[in-house]
Amino acid sequence: MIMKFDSLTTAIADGKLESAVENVNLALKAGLNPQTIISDYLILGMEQIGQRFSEGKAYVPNLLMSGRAMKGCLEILRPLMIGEVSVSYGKVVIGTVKGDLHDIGKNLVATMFEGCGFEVINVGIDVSSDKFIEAVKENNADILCLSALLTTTMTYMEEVIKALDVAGLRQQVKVMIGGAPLSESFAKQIGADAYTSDANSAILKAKQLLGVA
Amino acid sequence: MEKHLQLSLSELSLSKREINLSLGYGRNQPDQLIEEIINQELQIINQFCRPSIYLRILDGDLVNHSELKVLDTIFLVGEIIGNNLHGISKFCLFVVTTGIEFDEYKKDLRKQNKQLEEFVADAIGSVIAESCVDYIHKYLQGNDLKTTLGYSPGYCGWRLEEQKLLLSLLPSSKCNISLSDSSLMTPMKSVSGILGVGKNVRRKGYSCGICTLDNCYKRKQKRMNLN
Repeated sequence: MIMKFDSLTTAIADGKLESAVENVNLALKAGLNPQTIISDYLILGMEQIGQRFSEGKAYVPNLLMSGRAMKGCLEILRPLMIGEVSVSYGKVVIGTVKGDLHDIGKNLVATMFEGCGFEVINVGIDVSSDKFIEAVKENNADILCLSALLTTTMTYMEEVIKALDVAGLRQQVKVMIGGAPLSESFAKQIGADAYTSDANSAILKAKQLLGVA
Repeated sequence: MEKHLQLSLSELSLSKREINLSLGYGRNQPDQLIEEIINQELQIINQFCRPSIYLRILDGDLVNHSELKVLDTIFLVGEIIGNNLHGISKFCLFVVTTGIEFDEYKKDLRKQNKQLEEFVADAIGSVIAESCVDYIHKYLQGNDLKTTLGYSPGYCGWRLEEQKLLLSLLPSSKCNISLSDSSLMTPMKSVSGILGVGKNVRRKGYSCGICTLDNCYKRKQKRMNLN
């Protein structure tokens, strides 16, 4: 008998941690495999809250609550997936550029990426181009996300992109940028692939760039 | 005139509406659960946060339409600010901060993986810092001085790098604020700026219509207010 766990999707979309965890345990008991739970129910819930956010019907705290519910579920499911090949949309290296210590927005984007089925390597704040290059190389990343909140640090993004070029990695990784003082035209000017203004549009753009939308 | 003020949050009369705005809600109300988290964070922050204000009133004048001279320091404030400070001869240079304890508290929340609480605390911190600037206006008005709007490096065409010059005229020891090479202040919830003062000063609005900073938070807040 195939059981449906739509309430799990709803719990994620509504950011209800306890209900999500309870439903994950029920789904496991019913024999659903962890990867199916993630791709058919959890990610769907994150997509739903993302959609509500883009329609102005949900706000950043709602995204964070959904992200928290998602994390709670993944903590149960991941240990059960050892040895299995996990299905992900792609690998994302994300960090705040050198000289900048802001990380709330960057961490929100990282949480959303994770919740929406990407593998995320969060390299933190005040990150040098060398460290970004190393992380992209080591993880064979598909996307590099750069964050900056200051007009004095956003210019460093161009250095990172140039360093990717010099390292021969520019063609293998898409570069996305975000942060309060940035814009689409700045992204074009420094040779980034995309600028997005919020966490949800970052997910949509990443999927589009990787051709998985 | 120089003044160092240490305040409690009750003296700032923080507005719930401003907190909601800072959280991105515009005119809408957070749901009950988020409301509870906001109240909980306000309660915790109220226990330890003692914001500081340091202000200094100095003589100065506009050298031309975009340069302001205070003592021997010339600030390249740009035309938007220059226009709004035209004809003024006294300036209040200020710095406000929520204090290092606030940064430490946010760090603790991050360590505990409390991302939502950290986001809410951060928004409250922004409102506290802005309320300190409002407090300066009230304080000066209480001393029979009218004020222009406050202007900070990084906004309205005034380059962020000039924060170094501004802070050089304010003793850093008073508020324990340090500045990084990229002009980032520590504690992070700090605001520095300048405002015109005098008996006959007129206040003009922020000139978003002629400013090129598309993603300025003041512009965003105006948009949200309309939604």
